[in-house]
Amino acid sequence: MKLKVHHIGYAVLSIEAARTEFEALGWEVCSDVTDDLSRKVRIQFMRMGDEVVELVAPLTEDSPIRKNLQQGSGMPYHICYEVDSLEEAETALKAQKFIVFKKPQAAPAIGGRRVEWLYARNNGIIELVEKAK
Amino acid sequence: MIEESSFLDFIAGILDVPRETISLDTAYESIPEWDSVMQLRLTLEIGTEYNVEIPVDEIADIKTLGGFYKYIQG
Repeated sequence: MKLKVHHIGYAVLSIEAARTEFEALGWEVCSDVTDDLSRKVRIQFMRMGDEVVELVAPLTEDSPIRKNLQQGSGMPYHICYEVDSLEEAETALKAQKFIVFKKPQAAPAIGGRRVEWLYARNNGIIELVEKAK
Repeated sequence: MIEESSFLDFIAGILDVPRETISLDTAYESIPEWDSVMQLRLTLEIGTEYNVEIPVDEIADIKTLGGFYKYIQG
C-alpha cells in the first residue's frame, strides 16, 4: 500500500473569512467553492507549493463540522491520503487497528473521486481519496 | 455473558470519568467527555476489547452506552 498526502483538512467558521486569513499566510485558492450536500459542508482548496489545505465550513445549522468548531476556532482535523485502491488500503489499515466510520462515497469537491473515512487511536481521523481512474 | 458492571468499569476507564457517574442510560454528548471523536474511540476500544465489529452504518446511531452494550451480548 502506497500513500501520499493529498491535503490537510481545516474546519473553519466560514470559507470567506478563512480564505482571507490563509491568503495572508501565502496560500492561494486552487478550486471553486463546492457545496457538499451529503456532508452538509462548503469546501474550498488552497495551495502553497506542493501543499494543499481543504477549508471545510458548515453549510447548515446541523452540519457535523460544527462539532469541530465548538470552541469557536478553526483547526486542522484530518489528513487526507491518496491511495490507488480504497479497498486495498482499508484492508491494510484495518489490520493496523484502524476502523472505518464512513464507507466509500463520491466527493463532489474532489471531482467525484471516492473517499473513505477512518479512525485510529493516535492518528485520530484520516480520509482516503482514491486516485482518478 | 459480559456483566453490565464490568462493561461500565471498562467504559469509565476510556472516558476517564468516575464509574458512579455513568450507566447504560448515559447518552452521547450528555457528558463533555463523550463527543464525536470519543464516539469513534469507544467503537474502536469496544471492538478490540470484546472482539466485535460494530457495523460502520450503525456507529452514528448509537446514542447511549446501552447502545454499545448490546453489541457485546452475543
